[in-house]
Amino acid sequence: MNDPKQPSTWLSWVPLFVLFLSLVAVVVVYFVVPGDAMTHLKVITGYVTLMLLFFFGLMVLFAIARGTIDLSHLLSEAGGGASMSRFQLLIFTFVIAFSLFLIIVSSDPMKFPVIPAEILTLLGISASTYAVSKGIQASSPTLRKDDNGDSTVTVQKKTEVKEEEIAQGPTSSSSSSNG
Amino acid sequence: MALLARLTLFTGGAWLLGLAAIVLWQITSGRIAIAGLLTAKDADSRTSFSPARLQLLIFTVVIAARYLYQVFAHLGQTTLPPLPSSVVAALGGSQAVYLAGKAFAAYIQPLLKHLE
Repeated sequence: MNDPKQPSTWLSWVPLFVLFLSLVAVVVVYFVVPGDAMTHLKVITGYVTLMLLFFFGLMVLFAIARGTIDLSHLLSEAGGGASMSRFQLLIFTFVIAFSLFLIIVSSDPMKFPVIPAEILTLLGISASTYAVSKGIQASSPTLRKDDNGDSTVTVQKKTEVKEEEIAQGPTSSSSSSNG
Repeated sequence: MALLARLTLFTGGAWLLGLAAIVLWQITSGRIAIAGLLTAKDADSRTSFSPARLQLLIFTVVIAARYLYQVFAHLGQTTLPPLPSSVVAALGGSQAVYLAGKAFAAYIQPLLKHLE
């Protein structure tokens, strides 16, 4: 099975594919779009930027889907379990983003809409709740404990001790073989 | 340039839909864990059902669904639909209840346990 953290061979061809598409766009615009050199430059810049953004976005989505960008702890909090404030911020972020997109698509001519102050307040309340919740979590030794009852400090110390034992392991075995 | 503008919009919308679909798929498949969303830990690290989290979840889902309905009902306008101040105040109150519950479990409960 492929290691999800290793980039796939076909993904490494994406930058070259974008370059090829950009060159095709340059040729097509030069011969098809009427106007002077400045008009051609504007249109070509627009299409090349769009293609770059499209493929960057596509690569990020593929990385998330394959697990290379790990979202498994997107909604987790420090002491284990899911965080309600993170969940709320996720829902409101997607709802506002979709609302913006729908309003822009449906308006004629297309333009960025005015965002009411209440919506900004809503997002601010949600983000502030997340920040305060994180602060309470970080400052409370009770809430930082994982399901085994170990605090994050205890878990870190255990990890450091284990790393020292692994580092000393080969040294002690090599000295015994030389002796 | 009109075609470029429409293609840009399509790209942005497709990316947003793709991201939402992937996040939703990972939540339903369990890769993004939501276990413990409605439970809270007490001073003894025991988990129990949290009414504060439930009321926050209900408020969040109701407000989000109602707002999306308003957006679909007001397509073609140049601004996002406004949100009544009372709804914002209610959400603020809901957040305060949730944070108060969290602060109680973090600071007051250990103190009471220590005094016993």
